[in-house]
Amino acid sequence: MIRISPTYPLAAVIAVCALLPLVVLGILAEAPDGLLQARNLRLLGNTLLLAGLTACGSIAIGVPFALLTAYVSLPLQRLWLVLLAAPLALPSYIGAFAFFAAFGPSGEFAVTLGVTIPSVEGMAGAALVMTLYTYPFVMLTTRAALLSLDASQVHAARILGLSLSASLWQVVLPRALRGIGAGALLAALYALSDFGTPAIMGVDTFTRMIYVEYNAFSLGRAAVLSLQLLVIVGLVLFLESQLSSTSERPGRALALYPTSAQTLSAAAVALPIILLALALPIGIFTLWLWREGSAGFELSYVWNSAYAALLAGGFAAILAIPMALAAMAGPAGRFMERLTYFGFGVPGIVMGTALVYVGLQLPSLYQTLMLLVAAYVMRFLPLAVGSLRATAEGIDESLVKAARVLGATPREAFMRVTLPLTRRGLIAGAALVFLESMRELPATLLLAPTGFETLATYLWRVYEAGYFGRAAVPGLLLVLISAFGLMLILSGEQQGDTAHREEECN
Amino acid sequence: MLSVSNVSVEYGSVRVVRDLSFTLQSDEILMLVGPTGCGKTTLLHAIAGLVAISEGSIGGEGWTSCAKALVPPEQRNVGMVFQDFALFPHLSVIDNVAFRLKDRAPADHWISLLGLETLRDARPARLSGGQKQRVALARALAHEPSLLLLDEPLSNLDAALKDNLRFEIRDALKEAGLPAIWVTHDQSEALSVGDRLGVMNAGQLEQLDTPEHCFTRPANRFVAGFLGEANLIPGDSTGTGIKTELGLITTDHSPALGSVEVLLRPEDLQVHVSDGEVQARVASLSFEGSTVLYRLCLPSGLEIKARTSTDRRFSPGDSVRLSKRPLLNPAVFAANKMPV
Repeated sequence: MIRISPTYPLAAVIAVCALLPLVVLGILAEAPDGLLQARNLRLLGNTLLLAGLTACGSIAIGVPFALLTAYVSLPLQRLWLVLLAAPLALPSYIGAFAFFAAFGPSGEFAVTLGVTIPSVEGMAGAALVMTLYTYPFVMLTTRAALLSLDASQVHAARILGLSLSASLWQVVLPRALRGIGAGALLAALYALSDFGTPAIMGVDTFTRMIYVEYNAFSLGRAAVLSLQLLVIVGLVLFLESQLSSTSERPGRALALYPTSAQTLSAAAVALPIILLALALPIGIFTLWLWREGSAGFELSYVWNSAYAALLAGGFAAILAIPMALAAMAGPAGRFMERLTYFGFGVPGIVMGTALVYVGLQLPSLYQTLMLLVAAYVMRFLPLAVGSLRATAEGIDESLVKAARVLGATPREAFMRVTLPLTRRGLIAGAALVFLESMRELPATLLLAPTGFETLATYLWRVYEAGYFGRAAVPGLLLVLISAFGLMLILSGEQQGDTAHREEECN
Repeated sequence: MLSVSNVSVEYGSVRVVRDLSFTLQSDEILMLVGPTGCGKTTLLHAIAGLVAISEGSIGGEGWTSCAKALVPPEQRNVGMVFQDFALFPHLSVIDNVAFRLKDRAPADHWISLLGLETLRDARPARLSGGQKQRVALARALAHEPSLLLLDEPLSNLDAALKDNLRFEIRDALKEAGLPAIWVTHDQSEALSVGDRLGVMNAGQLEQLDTPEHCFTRPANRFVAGFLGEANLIPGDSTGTGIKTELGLITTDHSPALGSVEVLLRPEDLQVHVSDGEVQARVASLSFEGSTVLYRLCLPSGLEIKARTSTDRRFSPGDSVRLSKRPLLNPAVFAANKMPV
């Protein structure tokens, strides 16, 4: 039916708002002088190198783990998956902080155990930390691709005389290339946008320099850098959109049964990764907690974090409804949804820079909590929309038709059929936004009203001031929050699996 | 009561239903059959108001919808049974059946009539295919529509279930005294259930008639070929009969003089021991249980099929004589002008 969906006007307004940062940065940007140009080349080099190393590193770790978790029937299979995916839930600045504090001549290992391990810093350190926290992107996208492949091709290859490893290499991986590529681009995107890790490791990337310029009160230069960073981000997003999707008939995935020796060797490979990415930060923060207690920490930081994040989650859920409906109504709506994804690609530090300027121009907004919440919503709205849309698209479209034919108006059909069936997705989406907002660092640093300290900003102040021990409580709380986020995502995945399986049974 | 006049439906630039008209009497069951993509489901959705029509008008009890002024589905009082049943997964059986009912008595009536009492409070996910089908039917009927639309209601069910449910649904429709349009792609369903049969192809109705007429007097070759297997034997119509390779075939179906083709279904042919006169050679045969299907080669090279009882078996290579069943009046089409 050629009819404009009633959700379009509202969705259009939201989509236009999502583009606001770009407009603001365009107005704000000063023409760069010559000196800046030379420095920019170095920044560009560092940023691209970090993104490239991260992408390669996450493929190297992520693909083998994807094969392991997708095809090998390990004992405690679910635990393997959870542990190997867990680093994704942890913000990498937590890891960077822990690595920075643990290694090196004056690090915790040297102080506590008397063993000096070379320090983890600079480009190599940043790439290592970044890889440890982004390889699950590759693992999860690749795993999803692997699980959708029918095992019969592998069986055919082996009957034709190919060894298992050769058939995985020649028959399976080429068909999972898209999943691998998508995951690697996500990892690169994360490396481009992340502020905390390069800042702590002392690598001059765009995000770190934007913060330096911001602190030097030169918003104009920060805006130029932001725009340049956005061009790179846009390029990566473009590459990702070009990945052609090949759809194969889903079938029963391959299942391999390892001997106990093979299981042990797999564990021996996975253990160091999990130790470094998970046990190290938790261990360091626990050590500090034991040594220094909760000195300097105030409960109000938790409340502030939770309050701002709760507002963000609530608003995102409300705005996600018209957006998701518009996206499902037609191509124009899908385009508007794509526009809101722009906010997701905008690095937090860039979003912060743009909204600081908005605050300076509109004094009624300056230094208000609303501006911070707006930044959260603009960045994380796609999470809520995506979660809602995934649930809503899972609904058989004939259900709404059935309701209409039974005499329900479009409104009644929405309230009685669509909404109850998508409530779970909506709540999950709001919770994701809440958790992401709790952990967000750079935009919070720039936009939080004076005296409004959150867990993330407090952790940052502690790092800047060098009172590492005081990071214990906020660090552990952020780990805990991340664990909740992981549980939420995995429970969603599990439900998806169960629903799928139920359908197969029918 | 339903009248469909000159209705067209377009998806973008593709016309899926073309200038189609028919009327439906009260308590009449119309079967709609046709190949995949012929527009039968689209036509059903257009009648329900789920798809916009681009031309023509559709009129039901107390409403008329045309391209300029579409009536939304909720104002048409039609019922629909969907191919995938479309039961609301978050509601129990009784809440599904009574979805928009203030008085639940009709829901209880149909639930007990269709034998669903024990499943009253079950969620759809727990039901078997046949049970889902009954719930979907109960839901549609309990809302007391003035017309019921069934979109391939049995296509998702096992063959064994189909035969029983087919007549169960028909009895329920007759019990409710409802007119219905039933879309199917199953030939035997199309022929056995309805009062009238519409054969659709490429968005148009090729024939709309009783099932018997559609089968024995197909309007054209498409209908002949779509409903059952068809041998088309070329011949020459002389006025007294039709001269063919199988001899003179007489029929009360008066064709134009000249080249024609006679429709003989495999069941219409009888296979005899050759009495010197060889008309065909057995190419192969397949045993079908109660019947045997022969593939036969005529001297002209034409290949035809004949289905007979298993009493007398011929072997590949045997020469045989063929005749039509004596009382049969086969349909005749003017020959295809196109050279083959």
